[in-house]
Amino acid sequence: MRSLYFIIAIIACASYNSVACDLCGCSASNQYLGILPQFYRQFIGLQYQYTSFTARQASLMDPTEYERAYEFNNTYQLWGRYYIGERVQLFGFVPYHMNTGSDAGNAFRTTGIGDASLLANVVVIKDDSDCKTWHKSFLAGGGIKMPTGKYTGITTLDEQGLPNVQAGTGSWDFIVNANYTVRREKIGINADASYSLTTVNTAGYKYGNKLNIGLLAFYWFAKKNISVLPQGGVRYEYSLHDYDNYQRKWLNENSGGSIVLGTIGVQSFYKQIGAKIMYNIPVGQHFAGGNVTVNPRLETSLYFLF
Amino acid sequence: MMNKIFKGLLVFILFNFIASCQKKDNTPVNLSKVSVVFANPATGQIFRKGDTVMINAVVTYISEINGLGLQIIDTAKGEILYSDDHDLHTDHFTLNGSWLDTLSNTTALQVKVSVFVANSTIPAVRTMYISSNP
Repeated sequence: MRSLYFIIAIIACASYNSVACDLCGCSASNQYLGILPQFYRQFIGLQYQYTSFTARQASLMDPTEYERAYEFNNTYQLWGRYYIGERVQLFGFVPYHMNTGSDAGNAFRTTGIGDASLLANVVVIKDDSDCKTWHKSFLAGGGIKMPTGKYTGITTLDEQGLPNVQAGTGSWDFIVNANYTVRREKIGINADASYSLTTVNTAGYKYGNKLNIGLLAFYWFAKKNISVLPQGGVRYEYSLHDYDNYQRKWLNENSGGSIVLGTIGVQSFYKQIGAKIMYNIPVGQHFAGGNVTVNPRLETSLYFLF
Repeated sequence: MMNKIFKGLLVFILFNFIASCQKKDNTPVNLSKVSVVFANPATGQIFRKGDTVMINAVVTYISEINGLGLQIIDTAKGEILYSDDHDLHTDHFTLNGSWLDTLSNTTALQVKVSVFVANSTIPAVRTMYISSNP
C-alpha cells in the first residue's frame, strides 16, 4: 500500500507539471538527496556542483540579430544529516556560489553565500538489517529554503530567462521531497522526487515552481571497509514560468522549461569517509522557449559519516 | 501515523496540481495607451555638427512593457544613424540615449521610439522630428 502511495505521488508530481503551462525550460536548481549512506546516522559533507548555460535572444529592433549570453555556475555546498530520534532526519544545505558569465559582451561575476535550506524527512520505511537479501528505505518530508543569499532585484538575465545568476533568490520557498532506495543483494534502485513551491520575492518577482525527479540504478561492491557503487540513470527537471510581477500576473514566458539528463557516476565509502562524482549529460531540453541551452553538469561530494 | 503522512503529502501535491494553472495578465492590448513624453530634444530643435543629441523620454503603459527601441533615422535616406534597445518588464521606463551629430549636410531627422507591450507582436511607435544643420 505504501509503495502504491509513493507511485501515485510521483505520477501526480509529473502530471502536475505537464499541464501547467505551454512553454518549458529547465530548473536552475539541482538539489536532490540521491543514494544516502545508512550505516551511520549522521554525516556532514561538502558538495561541488558545476553547471553552465548559453543563451540567445533575438534583438527587439532586428529579429534577425541575436544577443548572446553565457553563464558558468560553481557551487560549493556544505550539507549534512542529523537524526532526531529513530524516524526523523534533518538535512541542512548551505551553498556558496561563484557565478561568472557574459551578457551581450558584458562580463559579470557574482560570489557569495546562497539560500540555505532545511529539510525534515520521516523514515517511512526503515531498512531491516536482519534481512540479508532485501534492503529498503523510504524517506518523505519537506522543508524550507530561506533567502539568506544576496539578491539585488531583477536583472537583464532574469528577463532573458537565464537561471538566476545572483547568489540568492530573495524568496522563501517550500520543498516537499521523497527518496526511495531498494537493493536486492548487490543491485539496487534509487528514486527521488522533490518539488519546490516558490513565493514572491522582495522585488515582486516569483521564480517558477520546480520539480526534480531522478531514477538511479546502482551496483554495490563491498569488501572489508570499502564499498563502491557505480551508478547510472536519468533525471528530469521541470520549472514553471517565472512572474516578473506576481501581483500583476506578469508571466515571463521567456523562462521555465524542462530537461532530461542522463546521469552516470560512482559513489564510494571507506570506513567513515565517503565520496561521490556524478556527470549529467542533457539528452533533451526545452528551456526559455528554446533560447537557453543547458550544458553537461558535474557534481562531486565528500562526506564524513559519524 | 505513516498513512496520515502519506495522505497529507498526496493531498498537498494534488492541491498544487489543481492550483498549478499559471494565471496571466490578460489586459487587452491597446497601443493607444502607450505614452511617450519627450523631455529632450524639443520638436524641431536644430543641432550642429559636433553637438550631442540627448534623448530623454518617459514611457508608460497600462500593462507590461516588454521592451523598447530607440532610433534616429535620416528621413531622406531612411538610414538608421543610431539604434538602441532595452528588454523590460515594467509599466514605466525613463529612456535615456545620446547621439553625436557628425552629419555634414542639412538633414531632417526622425527620433523613433518603438514600444513592445505584452500580448502584442506589433510595437507602438511614437516619433518626433529634429534636424541637423551644420
